[in-house]
Amino acid sequence: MTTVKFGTTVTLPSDTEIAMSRTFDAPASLVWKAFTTPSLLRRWLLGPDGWEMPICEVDLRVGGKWRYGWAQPDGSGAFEMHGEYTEVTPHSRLSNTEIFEDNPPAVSTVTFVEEDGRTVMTTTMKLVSQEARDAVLASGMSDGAGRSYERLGEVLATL
Amino acid sequence: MDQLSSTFAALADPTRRAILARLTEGPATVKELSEPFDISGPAISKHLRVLEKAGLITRGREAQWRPCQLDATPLKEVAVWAENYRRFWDASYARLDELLTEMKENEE
Repeated sequence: MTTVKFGTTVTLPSDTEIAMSRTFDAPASLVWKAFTTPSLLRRWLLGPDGWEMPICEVDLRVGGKWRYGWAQPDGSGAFEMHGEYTEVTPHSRLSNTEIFEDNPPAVSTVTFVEEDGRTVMTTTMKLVSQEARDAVLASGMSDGAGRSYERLGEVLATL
Repeated sequence: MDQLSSTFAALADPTRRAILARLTEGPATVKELSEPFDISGPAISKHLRVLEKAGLITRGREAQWRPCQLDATPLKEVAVWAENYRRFWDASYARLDELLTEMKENEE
């Protein structure tokens, strides 16, 4: 079997959103299962090597709560985030609030789009409150789409 | 709005990114900055105010010239944030690839 390596694409679809897309070589039903089942989440949602996920609670229904907590094996560096599901459409779309430390609550939406047995999973995170977003829009900063990290990277690369 | 959000908002505009790219070569006046763009001086000044408010540039005191200078501090915060974000998800998704392969085999 050939192993296909897919890249992660990060874009800025609007002034307050960050979107991340990644293709997986599996049908949407399996990607959804891996994304919403605590025993499976604990096996992959770990970031860099050396982290464990001692807290993983998923009450998968609209209004249900979720809570994830990570720590190193000796218990150090522990941090967690939590929120509430606002949309649960199996194999297709999952929306939830996300509260992390003192950050303003964010809203995260994950879509699963299957084509030819592969699934594109796109996570869109709205970074700040509606109020802050509207303030940004009112100041006239909203312009066309298609801003991407590639272009941000060009600026950063020259620093 | 927090610092990271105002940096993102300031970076969301292609003209402002181009201005920042130009300023990486050194300080420049408003006139110099407006030359490569087909937009008016006042429009450039508006972009500069957004960049200044976001802390991405500083401007000289001399009333006539007021040269603009890049302040990379907020950009470094974005770079660190983006790098950590990408590193977290790249590592996690690589594990998810393996898990999905295993799940597919179990289904067959």
